[in-house]
Amino acid sequence: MNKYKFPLVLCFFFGTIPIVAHFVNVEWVTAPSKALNDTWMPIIYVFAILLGIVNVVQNSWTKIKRREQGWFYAVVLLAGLFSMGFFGFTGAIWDTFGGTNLRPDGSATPFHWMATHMFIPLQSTMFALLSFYVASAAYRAFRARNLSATLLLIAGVFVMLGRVPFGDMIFSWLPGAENTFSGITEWLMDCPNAAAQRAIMIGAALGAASMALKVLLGIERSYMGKEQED
Amino acid sequence: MDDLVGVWVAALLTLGLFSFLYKDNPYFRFTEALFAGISLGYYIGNELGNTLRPNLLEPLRQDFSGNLHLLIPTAMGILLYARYKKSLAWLGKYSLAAYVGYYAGYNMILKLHGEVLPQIQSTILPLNQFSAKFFHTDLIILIGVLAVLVYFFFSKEVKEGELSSQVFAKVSVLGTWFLMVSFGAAFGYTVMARISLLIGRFNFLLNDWILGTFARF
Amino acid sequence: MINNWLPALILSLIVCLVVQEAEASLISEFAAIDTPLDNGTGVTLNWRWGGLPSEGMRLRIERSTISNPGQFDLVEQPSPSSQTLYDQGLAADQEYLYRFTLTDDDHIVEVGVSSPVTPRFDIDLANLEVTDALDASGDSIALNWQWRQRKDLGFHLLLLIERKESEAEDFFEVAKIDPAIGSFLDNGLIEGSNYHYRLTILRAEGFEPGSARWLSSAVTVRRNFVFETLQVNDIRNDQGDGLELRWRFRQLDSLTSPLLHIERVASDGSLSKVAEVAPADERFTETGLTENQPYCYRLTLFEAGKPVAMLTSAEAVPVYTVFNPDRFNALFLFVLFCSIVLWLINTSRRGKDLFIRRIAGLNAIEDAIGRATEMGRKILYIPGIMSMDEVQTIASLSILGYVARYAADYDTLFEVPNKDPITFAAARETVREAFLTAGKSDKYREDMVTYITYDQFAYTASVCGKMVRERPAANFLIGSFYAESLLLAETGQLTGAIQIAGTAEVHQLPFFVCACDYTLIGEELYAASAYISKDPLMVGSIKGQDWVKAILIGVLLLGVILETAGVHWLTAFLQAK
Repeated sequence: MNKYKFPLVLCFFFGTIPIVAHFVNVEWVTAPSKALNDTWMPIIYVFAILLGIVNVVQNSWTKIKRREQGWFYAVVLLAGLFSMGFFGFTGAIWDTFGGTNLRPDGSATPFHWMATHMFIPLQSTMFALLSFYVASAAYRAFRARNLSATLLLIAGVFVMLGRVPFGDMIFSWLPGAENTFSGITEWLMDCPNAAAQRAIMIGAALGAASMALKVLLGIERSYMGKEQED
Repeated sequence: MDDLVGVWVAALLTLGLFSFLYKDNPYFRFTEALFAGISLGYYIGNELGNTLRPNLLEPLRQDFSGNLHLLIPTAMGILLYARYKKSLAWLGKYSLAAYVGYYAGYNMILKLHGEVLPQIQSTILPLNQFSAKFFHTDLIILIGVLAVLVYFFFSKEVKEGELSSQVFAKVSVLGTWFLMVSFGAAFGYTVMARISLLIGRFNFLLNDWILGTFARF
Repeated sequence: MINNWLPALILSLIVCLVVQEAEASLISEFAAIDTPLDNGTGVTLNWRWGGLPSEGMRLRIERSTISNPGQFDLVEQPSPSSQTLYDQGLAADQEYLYRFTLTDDDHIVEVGVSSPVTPRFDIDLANLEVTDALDASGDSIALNWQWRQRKDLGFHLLLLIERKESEAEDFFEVAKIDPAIGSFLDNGLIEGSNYHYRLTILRAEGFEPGSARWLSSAVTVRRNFVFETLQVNDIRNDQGDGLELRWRFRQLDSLTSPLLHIERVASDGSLSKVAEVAPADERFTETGLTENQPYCYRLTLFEAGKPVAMLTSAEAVPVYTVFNPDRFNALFLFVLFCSIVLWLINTSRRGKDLFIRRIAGLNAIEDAIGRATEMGRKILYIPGIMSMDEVQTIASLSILGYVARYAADYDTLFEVPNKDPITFAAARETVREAFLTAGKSDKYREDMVTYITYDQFAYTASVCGKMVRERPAANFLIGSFYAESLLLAETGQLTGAIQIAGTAEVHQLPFFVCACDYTLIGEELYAASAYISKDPLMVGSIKGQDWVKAILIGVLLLGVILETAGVHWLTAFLQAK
């Protein structure tokens, strides 16, 4: 077995552990599976994050050194990375500057302050941008080009109207029809939407299981650069 | 005062991202770059504090000889860096293979047991109910699931003149309709949720930032 | 002479008798007695009225204390014919004197004084509370009071509890109990109804006039909580030392501090405390038990420190099993799936029947790359935001390999920004090997595959900025996405790029369908690598999936038929635990 085939063996070995542990309740199977899931894989993952950070620093530094277009923003990126990273690293490992959470007296550590006043607002703002994009996507997509698009349009309009009080107001003048739109919304979500989602989930689950089986058997190995051993 | 500075910083960064709606501009680029840098720094602290320290550093600090097995994932993590030396780059694949293999096995059983079985089981229902709900909901769900599953058949060739092919094609088209209705409904459903996120940010800008600043002075 | 005075004498005697008779029929037997069965603050006055009704007649009852006998204070001016008056609010153990004055048109007709009387404490019922009882059934009202009684009372008392539902109704008897109990729980009521209560003290032998009586205001009875269906089950897949308790709890009314005490009931009936948990948890696991030994539990719900409900479980036995029987269905499906897929992979090796239906999004890949090449702009490939622990990412990298090879063949600019570090590492290998396979290893640059950041939205902001600035001609959004899917797809759409998306995330598919030119829906993502490569092994796996799907459709239809016939074993078998 050469050094390029051995990863496939490793892949298969590590893959069978959770499968066997799912069915067989024996200490020497369940304990390694639990250890892999709770400890080993997260540790490997943290080292991978550092690998990514190294790449970011490398690229940014190259940009700054060569004064490429946009190098100033690379400076900003590195400034943000190192300042937050410094407080995060020292706080997490040695609890310096009070650590990464609030101090016992309720005052904010530098890391916590930056997270609260910079990181979280930025995340929330990106999330909020979705409302603009959803409007522009709806405006463009809800066109009755063909039958499928028309069905999409009708379902979308009914559900949008049903989710706001205005929808029910439309038929409120008809006795007994006050909840028409919200009723249709509920039906659309609970019936055709649920049916389609269920079938997509079943199909996707089978597809994922098949892909996973191929990975375990070494049939699918593009993630490793499969041509190496040819 | 500390709070006021924080509110101003948050507000200015918020506006920086909002400026993207107009067009790409230096203000947005600055905010974007700062966001990327800060987020990386945040996760350094987060992952080190919540993952590496309790799972590796503390156990080794407290009982090194009893936790020697933790050196194996440490070594596997370090092996990922082997790619920086060309002659040792192949070692990096070992860690990758172990990581991918473990989760492939994990996901395989999760999908089969946790998704396929429950979805099939919840779709099975008796046909002799004859209630209003059965006709306008349960039966349509059953038909919809079957039609969409037929749509996802890849290896069935539709041949001209073959009855089974024609039936297959028609059911597949029905499945497409169900998919379109589903996508339209799901899209419409999230519109309001997204609007509420925007309201939250505007609320912050107006109340905490503008009115809060005036209130302070 | 004798003949003259005898009739006069007889007439005088008759007049005297009549006058005397007239005097005796007004107020007689005026007496003041300690009101029986009260708390020592009442005196009952009785008299006999023998007079004829007269409009001008007034009766005045006054009272004085022995310590100040000359000072009489008005008590009341009852009607002379009422013959009874209850004087209350007196001081216990103090002597009182009563005087009555009968007047007729303000002329005093008669005056009388009672013998001294001392009201004594006999009984007292205080702090009466009538409230809806805290229960799950919503049919009880609790009555609580404090009872005091003179020790030498000499006879037994009963507390008559009466109830009525509306003002218009009469009270009817609910119970007669010893008042010293201090509490009473009235059950079997109707949830949501209002009830009024009346409590009366009786002598055990019958109703005592002047006895104390108490009335409550209306109380509504309702269900305060749901606390039911306690089940104790063996924890499967453990070392045979654990049991799981499950119960149902819903708070319907405001409870101040509900707490659940879990106790283990031993075979001799003794209790040992196991834990105190919040009842809303609805679940508790106990480990460290002895295998194959039966255990029984009692759960007591406390509210503000008082027990209000209790559940006792049946016995359960923790058992160790090597194989979890609840997962037999999953094992069956797993073996079936693997067998069929592997069999069809093997069959496909011989090159037999390699048909896969057209998938529009995959057909468009080459066109999209060609477009990018013609325009001299780059291809942007986003492999999702999840790590390699997500199978969609593996599928995405499989497609990335082919897209990279096309890009290498056509010499198209190519970039893969990554959010996940492990995906970044794997993507690098994939793209490098693709360029190697295409014989263009010299064209490969490390900065084709970059790492942006770990945060979902920071990554999105960077990629959106990149899309707007660099205007790639073709965007591939293939993999696992969440909320950022619409941001990325819509930004790409606004820049005019051709977009091919693919994900198995059901909630993001609508956005991709609306914002992208082609979308690979769910399973199509996983079929892509087989479709593009036409590799027999890959195609065989797709056929295997289809076979399993067909079997599942058959199972679904069989299940429907069996359920319709009232046979439930298939549905029970499919239940995932």
